[in-house]
Amino acid sequence: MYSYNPIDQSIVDARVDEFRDQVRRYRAGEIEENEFLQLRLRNGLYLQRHAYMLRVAVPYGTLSSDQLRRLGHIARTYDKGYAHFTTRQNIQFNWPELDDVPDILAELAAVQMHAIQTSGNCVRNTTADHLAGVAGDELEDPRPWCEMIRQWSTLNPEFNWLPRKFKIAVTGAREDRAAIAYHDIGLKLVRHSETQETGFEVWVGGGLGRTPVIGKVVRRWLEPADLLSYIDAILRVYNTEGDRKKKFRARIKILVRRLGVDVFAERVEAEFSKIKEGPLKITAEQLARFKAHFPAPAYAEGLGEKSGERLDERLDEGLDARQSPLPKGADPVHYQRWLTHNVGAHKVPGYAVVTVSLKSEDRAPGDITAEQLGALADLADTFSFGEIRSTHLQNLILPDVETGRLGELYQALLAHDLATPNIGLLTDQIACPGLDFCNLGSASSLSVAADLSQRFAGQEKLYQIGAVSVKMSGCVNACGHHHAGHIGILGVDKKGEQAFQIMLGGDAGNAPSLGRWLGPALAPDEVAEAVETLGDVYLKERQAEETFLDTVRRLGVQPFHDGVYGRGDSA
Amino acid sequence: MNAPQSLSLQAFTLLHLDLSVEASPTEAGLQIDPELTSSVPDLSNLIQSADHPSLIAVKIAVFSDGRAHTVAMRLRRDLGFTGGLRAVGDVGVDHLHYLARVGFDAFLLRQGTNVDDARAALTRFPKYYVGVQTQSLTSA
Repeated sequence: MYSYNPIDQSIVDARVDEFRDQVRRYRAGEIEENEFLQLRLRNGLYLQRHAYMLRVAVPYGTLSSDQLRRLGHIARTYDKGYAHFTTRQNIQFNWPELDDVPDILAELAAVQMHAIQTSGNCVRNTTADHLAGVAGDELEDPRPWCEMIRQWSTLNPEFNWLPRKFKIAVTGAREDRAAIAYHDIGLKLVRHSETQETGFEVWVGGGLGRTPVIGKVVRRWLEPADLLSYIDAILRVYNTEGDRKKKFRARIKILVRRLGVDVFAERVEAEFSKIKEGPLKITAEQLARFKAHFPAPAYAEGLGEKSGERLDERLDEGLDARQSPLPKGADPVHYQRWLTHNVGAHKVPGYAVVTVSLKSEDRAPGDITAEQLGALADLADTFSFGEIRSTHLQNLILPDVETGRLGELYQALLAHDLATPNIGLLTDQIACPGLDFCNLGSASSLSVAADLSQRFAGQEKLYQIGAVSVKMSGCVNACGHHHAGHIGILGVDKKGEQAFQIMLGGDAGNAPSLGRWLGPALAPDEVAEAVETLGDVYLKERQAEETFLDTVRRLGVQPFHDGVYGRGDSA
Repeated sequence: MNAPQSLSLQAFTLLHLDLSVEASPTEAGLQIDPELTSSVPDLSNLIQSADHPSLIAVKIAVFSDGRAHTVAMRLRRDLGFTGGLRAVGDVGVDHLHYLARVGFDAFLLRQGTNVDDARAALTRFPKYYVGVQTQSLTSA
């Protein structure tokens, strides 16, 4: 993974010093409330319903064991002993004291982490495919490019005060696991049809929130050397022409819609042509320097049973005792479920990708205790070359585990309540903090998430229903991405009462789609049962190998509506 | 298009990027409001109609409006303006290093700003990123 040089370190250290000084001047009454708000947001610090919340950047979802250990230390020392992974691969602390935050930032800087621009109207942390570097379907590793974007965007002098927040995601794989269509800029590494060179397809203007929009391709092919110049040009057009008067019209998606993607693209090209050969051009030497930060780990050779055998083929058949013997004393059903759902294919024979579920009955989706952070850091050292990934689905990943050691790892994870076998299933839901923590929340998304978890935990039906993404937001701002869930759940306030609306058919993959409303809002205690009904309708109606999403796409909302509301009731 | 503003200059402190320069606050020859003028052709016309001024002031209506930053980039880089470029308006300590790096060389600090804090803000970061290169403020 990327390691800081002395200059990178000096920038992060100076940022800590700057924020310490800003807190001092704020406490002395020298910075007004509204200005301090903007300054602290750009250091990841929100003021929530009960307390401050600090959002720490996990650049493109990559963490070292030392960093994870330090996050555990911070949770223990400055918070209530836990932390929360977000839908943009970041981590949040929910209870820091303002006067401790400079010290927390210094603790982070000591392990090459920061909270720079994790909030505010600026370029946020760049996210990426959480299987970068280990996926079999990868054309090129996106992480070196993400790190370049991180550096370009960090304290960028021109784009620190944009009309609204700005999010960039990058994928280098055939299957989009980074949801690029729902980002302000989505970047996809592609191969040129003639030259076979690798470059970028550039998407712009996607986003969820109050006005969900699937992004549009603004450039089919971009020379990789021009990446920073081109996104700089996009930001320049947005910075001067984006709407600054109305907050809900300020995202770039509204500008792209107003101008039309062709006119927008022309304006970007005009800017791009002026700066293309300038200091943002990436030289071959620079690219090599960044790529050198992401070498493959020292994989053991010859672990695959047959040379060239693909693990995903074996995984499709279900890993069995031959590859990973049943650990002593383990529940064979639970272990097989874990192998089936939490263990994925790796590009190197003999290795697997293990997803650590942060979804279980007794926690909010994405929550992790200080003890678990520390334990996982040790497990990463023992089993996965000291590396951990965070996913935008609020789970963690050990990316490089020998298949022969899966049983051993399973038992260790189980001991720390980190082996819930539910990845990709209904209870692997994502949810925003909602009314319980957030100032904006209209309804308690976490309570409904807990209902769902409890209803399905360990149930055979969970496994019969199979792959479903459930995404839940506690208000229309859509931090829980409900429009992009196969089942989307939106909390609203109906005349002082909490209520939940359900959407069906959203997706964030290669064929992105926005969900459609199922029917009238439900009371909070009706949601889990309604979701089970949706599963029942699918089990009854599905054909052959259809997934839940396939069936929804084939049949539309109607049969699901009828299942939940009864046939006579109109939406 | 851009009527000169009647700023009460005495109430402000002018800080020059070259901290050794004791600049005196005089009215700039041309004042630009990014709300009204931000495109390269419009900026170019404005400069020509003002007979190529040696000093341009760019208005920052509120610190959280980043348009002045792009205007400065366009003046310096696209139009090759080499005269004085002054940030006026809602300019405080915590915005200076951003403004300095897009090409402003003087800042009319808002009332009550502590000049020592402002100087410290301009020297705090040893280097900044420019794309994937790094640069110090003084060589920018």
